[in-house]
Amino acid sequence: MLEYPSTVSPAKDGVTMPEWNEKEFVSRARKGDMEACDALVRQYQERIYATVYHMTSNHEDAADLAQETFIKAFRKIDKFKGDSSFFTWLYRIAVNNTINFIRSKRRRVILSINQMDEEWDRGEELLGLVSKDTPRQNVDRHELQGILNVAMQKLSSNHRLVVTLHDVQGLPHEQIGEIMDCNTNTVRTRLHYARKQLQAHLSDYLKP
Amino acid sequence: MMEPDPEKFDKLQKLLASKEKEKPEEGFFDRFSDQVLTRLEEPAPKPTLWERLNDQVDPLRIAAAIFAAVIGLGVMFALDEGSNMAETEPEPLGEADEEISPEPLGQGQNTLAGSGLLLNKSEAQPPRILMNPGTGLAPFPAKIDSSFYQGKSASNTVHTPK
Repeated sequence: MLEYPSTVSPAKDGVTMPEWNEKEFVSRARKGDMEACDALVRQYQERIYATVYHMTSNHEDAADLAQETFIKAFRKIDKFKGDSSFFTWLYRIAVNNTINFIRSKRRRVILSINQMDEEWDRGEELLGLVSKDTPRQNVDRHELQGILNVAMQKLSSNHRLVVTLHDVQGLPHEQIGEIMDCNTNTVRTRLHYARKQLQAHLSDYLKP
Repeated sequence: MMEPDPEKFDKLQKLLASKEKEKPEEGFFDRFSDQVLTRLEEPAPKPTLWERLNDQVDPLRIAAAIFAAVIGLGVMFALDEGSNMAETEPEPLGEADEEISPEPLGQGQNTLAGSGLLLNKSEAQPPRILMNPGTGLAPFPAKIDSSFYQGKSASNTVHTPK
């Protein structure tokens, strides 16, 4: 079992989780401690996977790229100077890796979309956002999911990234700026244009 | 810049937020860490030449160095051009203008750049002397006064035919 720090905090699912001390785990991972690496992966895997998945709209690619992100990070952990948080640094690796991947297979986009969390949505809430005047009124939840993902794929990688980080994952502008290596005004501008483009792509479906 | 429709925008945000509920199959994240650590223990693939270069040298510095070199070469070239122009020392404009006395069109057209040589425009061919150097020239033996060489060093001795 992992030797976590003594202080613990309850996790949302009721399982007792250690209080997160990123610096300590990073320092141990630097020394080659695999348990610390495991803890870092478990801490950030969902967010890194989600970012890559929303960028690629493909589960298999996202799984591969998320794994590569962690492997690259641990192999180059000596280069992590601690100017930003480890999480931001990890995000940067994931984002650069994903953008390079998207550029390399620009014309071969294959969607492989994950299922929605069934406990959350039975379809009504999502479909309530759709216009009754859609080209096809009987659009179902999976179709809508597909339409949204296709619209996302039409955005440039920078616009897609900013929408993913802000509107899907809820990161603040400042942190997105750190991840994308640009200032917050650039983040806001990109977000504005990305949303406008998405609105245009989805105008037939969004309820007026 | 046209602002997006706020009502539609609200719907769009809700739609985008719903993407957060797209999850991989159950158990995916339980296996994920083990897969990463297994791959991490495998020997790292040999980095390519480009990756090694990229690791050792900061690409930003390389770009800055190339930029500086280009600017430096440009400045050197410009200075060199400037000094060449200075060396030619053009005549003052006023004087140059006075010396140019264009011939009347009728005469000037049939001469080669003011040299006086006649230009035959109907047969626009270079002079034969340029095509076959030496053609039409009669051999002309040099007249040598043998007394000129007397008292000179051996290296200057010329054997004249008797």
